[in-house]
Amino acid sequence: MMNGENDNERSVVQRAVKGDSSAFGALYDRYQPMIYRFVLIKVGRREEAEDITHQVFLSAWQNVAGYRHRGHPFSSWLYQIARNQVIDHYREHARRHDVSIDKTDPEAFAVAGDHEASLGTKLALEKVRSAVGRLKPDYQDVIILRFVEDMSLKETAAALRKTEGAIKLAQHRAIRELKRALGDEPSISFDSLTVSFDDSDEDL
Amino acid sequence: MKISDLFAQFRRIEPDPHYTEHSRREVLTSPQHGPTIRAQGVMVFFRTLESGVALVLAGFFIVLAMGGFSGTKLEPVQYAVIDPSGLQAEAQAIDIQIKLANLDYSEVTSTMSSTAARAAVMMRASTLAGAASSSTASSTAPGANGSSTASTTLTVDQALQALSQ
Repeated sequence: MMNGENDNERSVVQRAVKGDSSAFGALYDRYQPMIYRFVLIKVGRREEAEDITHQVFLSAWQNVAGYRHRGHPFSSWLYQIARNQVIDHYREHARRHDVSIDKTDPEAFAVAGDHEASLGTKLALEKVRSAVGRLKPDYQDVIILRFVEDMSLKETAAALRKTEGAIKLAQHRAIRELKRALGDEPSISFDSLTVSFDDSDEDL
Repeated sequence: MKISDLFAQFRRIEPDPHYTEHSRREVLTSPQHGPTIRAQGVMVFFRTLESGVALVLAGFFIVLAMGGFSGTKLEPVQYAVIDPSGLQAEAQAIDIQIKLANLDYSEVTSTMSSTAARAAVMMRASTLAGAASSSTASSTAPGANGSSTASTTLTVDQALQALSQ
């Protein structure tokens, strides 16, 4: 994100903090798809992802007056709320004894307009989603932000409020875990997944 | 299938537009809450003050109900009806009246008792006299002396008349 964009967003956030609903609406439009994908990959079901995403922005709107810029982007605050909402969701479902990480909805990953996505693609997406869902929450966060949202190392570190070194380490371990989970899948190849660490490229 | 391509597929996923429109409207029309820490502190202060005032008022009313202010300069209200000294005088007056009433009653009853005693004596005397005359009459012939014995028995009416005099 460019500095100019940062400044622009900061002014929008300041207006939202003061209660400007149109300013918060702009933030909603920008971050809602990202938060939705973030939650969907974690929970695997469309309805649950919609409910949780709605709760994230509802909570953010209701508490935005208390938001203070502390050097992190506004999205990091939203991701933090989203992570907590997902944890609460699993806690609630565990209490009801109906939690199962295998209960995924393959149609949830149907890409809009792409009706001709093959069954193989849908199944592969579901397998990857399931494997990511089994990772530790911190590893999930890194995989989603780095490879799904295509954020840089710096942006990911800022969004997750961690150092870049911590992000590198988490990413390395996450990919190792993913390979272990999907290594037996002949349809999925880990070749040519290029990860940028500063100026060097590391192939997985 | 490359995993990088699969991740790119994930990136293309968007939420349902109808859901997005509905959710956005719901969020932006919901009331905001979660006051700032400063506002929360102010609220806590006023709540504490409110509790303190309530306690003070409760204590005041308890003391008032127990008559704690009576006889002191702090007495908030002078009740015209409740006057301890006046009540005491009234009680003493009542006592005197009772004594006088007792006296009257005793005098009446003593008068009545003496009258009743006299009447009882007279009745007894007449009864005895009657008994004696009847025994005398049985032993003497009638008309011999040409005199008849005078009856001294009092009737009830005569006794009541004697009592009323």
